[in-house]
Amino acid sequence: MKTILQFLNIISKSTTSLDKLVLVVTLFYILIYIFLQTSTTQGNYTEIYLDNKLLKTLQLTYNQKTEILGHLGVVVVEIDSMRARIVEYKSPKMIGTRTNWISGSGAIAACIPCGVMVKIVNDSFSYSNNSEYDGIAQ
Amino acid sequence: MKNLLKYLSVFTLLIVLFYIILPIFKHNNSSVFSKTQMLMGTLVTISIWGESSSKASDTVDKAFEEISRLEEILSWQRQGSEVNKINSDSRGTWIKISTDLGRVIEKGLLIEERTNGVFSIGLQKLTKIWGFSQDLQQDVPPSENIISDWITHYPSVNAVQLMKNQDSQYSISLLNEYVALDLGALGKGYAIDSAIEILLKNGIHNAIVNAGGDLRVIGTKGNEQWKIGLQNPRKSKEIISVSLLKNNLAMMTSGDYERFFVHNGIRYHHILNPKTGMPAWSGLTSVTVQGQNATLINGLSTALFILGKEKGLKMLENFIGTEALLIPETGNPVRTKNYIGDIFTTYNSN
Repeated sequence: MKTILQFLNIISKSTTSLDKLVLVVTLFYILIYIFLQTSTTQGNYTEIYLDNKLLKTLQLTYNQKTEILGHLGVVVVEIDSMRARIVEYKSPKMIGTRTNWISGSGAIAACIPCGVMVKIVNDSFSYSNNSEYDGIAQ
Repeated sequence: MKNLLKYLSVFTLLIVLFYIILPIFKHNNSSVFSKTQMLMGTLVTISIWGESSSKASDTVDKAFEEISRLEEILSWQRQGSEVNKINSDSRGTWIKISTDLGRVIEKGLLIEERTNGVFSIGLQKLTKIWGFSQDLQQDVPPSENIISDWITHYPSVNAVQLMKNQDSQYSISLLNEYVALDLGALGKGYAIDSAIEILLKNGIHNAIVNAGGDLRVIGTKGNEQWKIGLQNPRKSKEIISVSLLKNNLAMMTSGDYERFFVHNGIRYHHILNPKTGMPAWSGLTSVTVQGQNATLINGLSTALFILGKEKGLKMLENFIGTEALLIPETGNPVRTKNYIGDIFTTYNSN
């Protein structure tokens, strides 16, 4: 609020109308830029695949759990606070499973033996990969 | 009216400036199209730079189809695959095989010859004894009797024989029941090479194919090189080295941290030494090899891991254009002269 008041003060002190316009337009562009940057990185829904075929699409805005019948039994996918994760399947060891929360557009969690993959998607942008690295060698 | 025109001119100028300046601030990844599928028992991601999303998507799908086709040939874990059929077939007879399978086995036998048999492509039975298959993994080592029975019967030479006739038709012969094909140390590399071929044939010259951390790049990412982080073998969230790759280069890693179990404080991992029937405990935790041919360096990273630092690096000298980074269990990482990649000084093997 203080920042906004300071900004309005600067505008009021501007010498000409043109100065005022330049300031307003600059602010407008900064806001648009910030919006574009955040909207490309944040996903707004998740796609659930079984054997590389799209099975379900779920909005990240609704906290929920859904069950998928994978190759080794039921796999639970949980969505909470704009994030998603694979919770469990009927194997005590969770071999080949990436279980951490994922949230950014393009992020993937998968249970390879189950054939289940969960991907965060942003429907406004088809391009993805916001990681610092283009690949992780392991 | 005059003022209005002035304001409009300034407004237009600012818009033009915005669109000129914006690409400078935008991260270059915005031009990278990526798609991921589960193939070859891992996540395969193909990223293409600088193409329209429709062209990139179509081409990536073709590359995925090719990898899927190869999986039907090369994976012993897939019911009905060509390798699976050969493993079920009678021993000591010559069986005609596909060109793809022949090429992979040819590379495998080359490495086997250069490593005096510590690298072998006939270890499927041993892998099963240890339980290192995709779906099920045991957490207790097999009995010494079972392993010594396997060692006794596994041929030290000519376990797998390959023949290529004048028409380039490959045939294979497995010597006895203890020999069965496991191309896990080569298959991903061959699939990556084949996917790159598909991309090139379809006019894609800037891309990266990453199969579960084994990868090959072509071209660049605009003005930048492809930035590859190497995972710390003991801390999965930590990157210990960064490689900037361009043009045509593959990077394959073998380590003891992907498939393993710990029993009585001993780490039993999936890279097996046919001479001992046991996991290869060579003092290394991870070996990364760089070179142009992903199939070859896929096998070399495994071979180097089994051989250990001294013998492994000596073996690598036989393969011109290959470089390696070795992460030992204790001590500092070792890299060959022209290995591309900086190691973070903060890396601690403990």
